[in-house]
Amino acid sequence: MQKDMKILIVDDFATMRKVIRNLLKQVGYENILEAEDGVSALRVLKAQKVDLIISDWNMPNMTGFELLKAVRADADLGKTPFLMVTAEALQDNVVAAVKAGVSNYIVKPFTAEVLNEKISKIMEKLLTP
Amino acid sequence: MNDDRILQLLNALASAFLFMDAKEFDIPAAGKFLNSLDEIVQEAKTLGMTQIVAVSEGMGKTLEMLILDTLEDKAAGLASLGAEISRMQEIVDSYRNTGGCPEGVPTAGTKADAPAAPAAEPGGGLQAPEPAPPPAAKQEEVKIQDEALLKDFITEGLEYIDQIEVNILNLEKNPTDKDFINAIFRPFHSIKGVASFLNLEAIRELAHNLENLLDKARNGEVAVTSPVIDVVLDGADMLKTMIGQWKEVLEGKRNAPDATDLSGMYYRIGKIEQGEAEEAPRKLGEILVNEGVISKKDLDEGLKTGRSSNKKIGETLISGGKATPKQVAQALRKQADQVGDTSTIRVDTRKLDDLIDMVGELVITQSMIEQDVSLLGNSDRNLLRNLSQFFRITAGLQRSSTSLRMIPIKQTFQRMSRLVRDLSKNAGKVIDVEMVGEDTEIDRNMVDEIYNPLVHMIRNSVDHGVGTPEERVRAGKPERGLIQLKAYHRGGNIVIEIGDDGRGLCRQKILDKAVRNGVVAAHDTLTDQEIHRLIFLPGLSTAEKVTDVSGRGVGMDVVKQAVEKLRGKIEIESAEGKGTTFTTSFPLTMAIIDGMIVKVGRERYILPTTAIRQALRPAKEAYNNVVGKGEMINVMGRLLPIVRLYEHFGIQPQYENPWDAIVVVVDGAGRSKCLLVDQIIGKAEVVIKSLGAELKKVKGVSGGAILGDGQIGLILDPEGLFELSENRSGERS
Repeated sequence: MQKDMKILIVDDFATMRKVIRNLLKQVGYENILEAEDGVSALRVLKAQKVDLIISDWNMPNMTGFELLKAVRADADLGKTPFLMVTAEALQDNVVAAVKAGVSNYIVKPFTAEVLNEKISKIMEKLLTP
Repeated sequence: MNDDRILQLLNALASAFLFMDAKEFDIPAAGKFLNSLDEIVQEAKTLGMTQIVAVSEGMGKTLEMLILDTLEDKAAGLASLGAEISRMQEIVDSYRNTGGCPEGVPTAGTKADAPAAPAAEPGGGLQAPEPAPPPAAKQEEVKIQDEALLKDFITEGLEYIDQIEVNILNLEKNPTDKDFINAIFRPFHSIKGVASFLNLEAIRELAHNLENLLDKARNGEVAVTSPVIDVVLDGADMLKTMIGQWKEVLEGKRNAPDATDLSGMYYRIGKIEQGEAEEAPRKLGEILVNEGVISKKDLDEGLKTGRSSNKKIGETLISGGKATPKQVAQALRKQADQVGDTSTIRVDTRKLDDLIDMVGELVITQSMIEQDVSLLGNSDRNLLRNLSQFFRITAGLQRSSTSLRMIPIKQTFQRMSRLVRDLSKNAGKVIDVEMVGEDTEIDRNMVDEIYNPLVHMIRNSVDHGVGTPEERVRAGKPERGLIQLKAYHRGGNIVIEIGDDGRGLCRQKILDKAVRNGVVAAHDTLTDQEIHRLIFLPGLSTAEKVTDVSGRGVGMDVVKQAVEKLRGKIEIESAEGKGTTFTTSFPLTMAIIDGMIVKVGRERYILPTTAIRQALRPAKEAYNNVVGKGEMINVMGRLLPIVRLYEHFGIQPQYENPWDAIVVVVDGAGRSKCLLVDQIIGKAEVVIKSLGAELKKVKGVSGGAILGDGQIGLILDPEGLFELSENRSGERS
């Protein structure tokens, strides 16, 4: 896995962003951007190419779900890998996200290993047609 | 029957399936699969192929379980999907051939009905007849894995809880507003999220339960009634306490958080979720009951009489003397109130502080330029005009930047309002709170600092100021006490008044206590104002019962010190039997000080104007050297000690005799003294510069400022100076 890939973390709770950032660092990912809600995330995405989006579901202004849909609907951003962070695998949420084209989901709380696994899975798929 | 489309869809489904692999279960592929299934179901419905619909829906469920990882035997699950696809193809073929549905085809995949791992039950949670409380509180394991993260969590968590409190009050006024519910749901959800990462189990669990309750409120399962508001408020309080305790652990003040017993809270939540605390939506009468204006009994009686006389509840309550027209009007306003729309962004406070510091530097540089310009004289008209424009802009910039840190004092007032509500309940008193000027702004850095002194004053008012309903009625006052919180700007300060209509200060009692404490001689005559000011001295509380903080004789002097530490002032006004008002004023910003520049020898010093009482050139006769007490000046009948600044700073002054020099009377730490200076140069607003960690310890000096000509003036701290002078005079006599 290219450890220098650019990852965008989207969550309105700054401490949570730090938590994820630390976990990513633990497994070797250091090229990290942050956004505090869907709206700023889209701004970032429009400005630069991002290799992976890790987004929380519950956020003000634009939820992670809405962000996912916005990304998938955009011609340039459409295929960007998207990992949704959810709590307790809320059934409806996850299924809706999957239908909307999420690359994978991960349930809070998670360890660095699990995070790494999910990321690897997502990025591997990109290599296959 | 046009079944080409459904055949197409089925074929696409079949080929998509080929790419799915049990070992590397592909979420995006599953997503596409689910979407395809949806399309098939749509198509099948229009074609009337009910069995396809059933089979598809069964497949959908299996797939969902695979996605959520609740199927133990994934391979079997996938295999069943494959089988179902074949079956669907058979069904469609059968339709084509026979024009009807085939016989003996079992519906909805049987394999899909056998999840081994616990599948998520719709609407799970509390279904037992009696909500069972969780096991008794366990001592939290104190394993702080990541201190930095915990610190951030504490800061942000407490911020979030403040948000919750403010939004709850909004929600109370608009119980059906989804946005408010969301605004409260999210912080609980966020706190739960990070708590789970940090292994803060008790916090996580409480946040989780509250989040669930709010989720139910969000989707209408639970109505937002008083019990809901109360339990959410209490829950938020509890979380605040718990997070606060972790803060203390980090600060070394305790070893571990207390094991909190949350069973009561879970019981209440359970009851609400089971629908045992239902109430009708917000009516005027309910608002009045909630605010504590009337009792439930009053409301019921009022409703009964109202029905028979066909009057509105507001009128009934007023004519029955249960509520004043003012209270009803306020409740009506609450009912109709729409919260204004504010658009905000979040900014890192460090960036804000940097910006304000930078503007401060700009102000200093500007005044240096101003000095140089005035030395130039009227030489260059153009230059002068441009510079004057420049100065105007800078002044505007300074105002704007300091206003960035300003927030309305509303939140603080609301917290105080809640405090009154809780305290008065405990004390068996009925007290209304009125807010005036709650949109007045205050530097956000000060908000936390001023909260404690204000709380002291509120406690005083509730515990000792306002009487019980019976007492008040006997005194001819309305049963319900009133505490008014007022805020306004005056002359570069924010003034906060806390007034009550209670007993007022008892002049004689204070006088007696003061005499007993030896503060005042028995025969001294003091004005009312002076007697009232006595309560700011240590040990001078005249309260009978010792309640918590107020009443132990450590109340008002601590408050005064806290206020003065923030360069504020506190005054008290009281009339026996009528009430008491505390008036505190604080500078609008901590970064800039309103100062008086004085000259001692060749040095210049700055005195905060809030500390200055007056300045004068004393007459020779006013000078006294009292045995055992030292040098004093008679200022309007009072003997005040002299502080010879030039001695402290080791400089050669212009004048050594007070009657040749100027004396500035300053207040500090509850007393007044005369500072001896050569000259008063003028007033100025200066930007406070810290002297750095080492020099911070120097007593008597609280900082430095760069004066108009670029020279440095030290900002004097009266309290520190007094202490120094007292130590020295110890040596003297």
